[in-house]
Amino acid sequence: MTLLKPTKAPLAEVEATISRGRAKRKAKAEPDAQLGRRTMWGPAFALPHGLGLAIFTLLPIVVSLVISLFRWPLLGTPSFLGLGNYERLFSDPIFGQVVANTVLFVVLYVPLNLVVSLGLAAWLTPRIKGRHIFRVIFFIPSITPVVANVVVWRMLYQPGGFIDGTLQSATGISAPNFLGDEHWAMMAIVVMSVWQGFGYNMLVFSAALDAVPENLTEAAAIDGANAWTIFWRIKLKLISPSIFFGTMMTLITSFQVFAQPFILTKGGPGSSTSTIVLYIYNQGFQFHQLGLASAAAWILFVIILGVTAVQFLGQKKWVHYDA
Amino acid sequence: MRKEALVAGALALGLIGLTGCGGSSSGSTADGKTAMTWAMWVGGTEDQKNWEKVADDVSNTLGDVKITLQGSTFQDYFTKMSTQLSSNTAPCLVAVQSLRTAQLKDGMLPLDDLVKKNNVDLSAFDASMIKGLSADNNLYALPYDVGPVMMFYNKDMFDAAGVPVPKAGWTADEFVAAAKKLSANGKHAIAPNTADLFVESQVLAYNGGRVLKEDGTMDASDPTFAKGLQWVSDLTNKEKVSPQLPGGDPAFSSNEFLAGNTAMNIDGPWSLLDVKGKAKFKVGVTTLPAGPGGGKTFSAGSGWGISKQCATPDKAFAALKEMTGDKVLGNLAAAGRALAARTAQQTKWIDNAGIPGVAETLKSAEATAVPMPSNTNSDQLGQLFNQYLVKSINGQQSAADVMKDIAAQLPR
Repeated sequence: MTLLKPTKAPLAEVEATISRGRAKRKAKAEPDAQLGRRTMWGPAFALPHGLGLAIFTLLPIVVSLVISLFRWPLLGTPSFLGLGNYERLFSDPIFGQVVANTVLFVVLYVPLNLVVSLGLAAWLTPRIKGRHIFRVIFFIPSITPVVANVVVWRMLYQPGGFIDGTLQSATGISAPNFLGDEHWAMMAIVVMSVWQGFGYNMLVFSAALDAVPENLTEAAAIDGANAWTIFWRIKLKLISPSIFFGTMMTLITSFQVFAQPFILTKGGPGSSTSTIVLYIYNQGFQFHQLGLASAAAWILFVIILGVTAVQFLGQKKWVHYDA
Repeated sequence: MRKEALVAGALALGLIGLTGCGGSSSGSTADGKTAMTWAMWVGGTEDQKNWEKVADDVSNTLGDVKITLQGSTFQDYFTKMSTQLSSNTAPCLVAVQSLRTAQLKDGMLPLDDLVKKNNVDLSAFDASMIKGLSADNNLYALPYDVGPVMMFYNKDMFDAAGVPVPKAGWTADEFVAAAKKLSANGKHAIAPNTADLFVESQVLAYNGGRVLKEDGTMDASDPTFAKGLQWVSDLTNKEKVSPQLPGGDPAFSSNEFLAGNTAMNIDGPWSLLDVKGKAKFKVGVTTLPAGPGGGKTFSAGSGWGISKQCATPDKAFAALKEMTGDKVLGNLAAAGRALAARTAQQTKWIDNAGIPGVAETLKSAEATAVPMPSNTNSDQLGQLFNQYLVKSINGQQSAADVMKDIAAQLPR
């Protein structure tokens, strides 16, 4: 415990401080030419970004909301439907399945991604020789184009492919038709996605773990805590803001999953791997129903917004910013 | 100071304006020629060269026009073109496949008046293609190629299995008998093909079942089609002459054929010389196996039209007339790119194919070919085939149930 000694400034010093403050306020009240120029240039420099945001982000958002209220074919004349597109989506069993598929993907993918990335980040302590090389290797799938990854994984998954071939030569049993069987296809997409996506979170967690002060873990070790307790009780709590960030970003991106089912399965077999963004793409650009696609996009936006809000509300219970 | 800030703002606006500029449908070149872009699907470097040569030759012949090719892959072409047509960024000259005419027609210019004005003799073209490229009694494109869907086969695999090569007009029973002999040692007779044109042709040849009716309407709940699709699915599940589908991969069938894993593949004449060039085996062609009530095949082809946004439709039509003229189509046929839609030029392609029996097969197939109608929901049907046929072909659901699911998702 530190005792603070009250300091007493000499009277002259206090008076000087007060007079400096008055001078500053005076300067504020009477802007000079220099200040005026700065005030002009500020908005001018911000203008390109502001306009960019307005034209390329805010305007499309508003336009998509308007389009969602119309029957809007890609070619042809739009007609006003009101909430017709939303009503159709809520009563469409296929859209229901598409939402359920997306939720299933999120529920399987997010925890797996976090466990794998956190596990590897915890393993890659400074004591591991060549940890930087491992970090690069683990990060490579995240920066490789997803299309290339998916093509390679298709070769692994298909009957007669790497997995099936290896299993057959080792045990004589055929592997399931991972992408051609509706019971396996989503799981196959989740596994491929975890491999593709854990690298980013791993880097974030690894950097956060490196930043945990050594004196805390040393003190705990001296007090008799084992490695597991140190990780669980100290490190994990100290890196909780990073875990929160990783969870948020992973949740948001996983709700937007598109490339993997688009290339691996086209949403099939049946609609078993059709996700919301794939549905939006198909409705908008394959079937030319921009109104329906926009309505589905707004439903996705509301889902993501809701989940993110719940995350923010829940963070008070487990995220520690006061390390 | 205020002036400086305004200049900075104006510059920023100008920059944003520039980035917002898209391509215009036509303009002028530095030497005063009318510049126009031609959208076309491109299958590779050789294909690109073929089409660039067409653009250059036609530009040189006309003198006052400069045509530039805008290539994209076939898979992306229709998505891109629909978007361009709807956002006023489409080029003047637009390629369209016969079975997708109805889908693009709202963004395209009807050509009937221009055909009359320029005295184009439509009877010189294959009649099924003029019909295929028309919608609502308007012609939207002049055809450049045509072709009935047919069966390609690997002659080496037939010879190795001691199976006589199929002859034009063979039956479904003969096909299954040959297929059983060809399926051994991890190889199969044929891989399932879920592409709309090919699976619909296979069923049409088998029992006459069709989703797209002659008048262009769509009925996915047609029971005859479901029966035909069940026969196709049974080739995998019952007869074991086809492998299972590894998910929705439209190129699976042709990849398996080219890799020598299957003995046959359903395709069109437009791919024949490309397949012959890539295959490490002797390629042969025959008709699709005909079942009871079947015996017909769909024919499809493509043409070039003019987008409604084109500022110079007369010049664009002059280019079209040249692009689908005897000279260009004759060259394309001789180069093996396209079985010409101008009937007078078809022999050049047949002579160049160098595949024994191709003339007889074409003759036989053309005699039984019916044009594949276009429908505004054709893309949706194609997409649903890709997603859902996996279930019937892999034996997870009956063909009738699969078609019921597909029908429920199509707009009524």
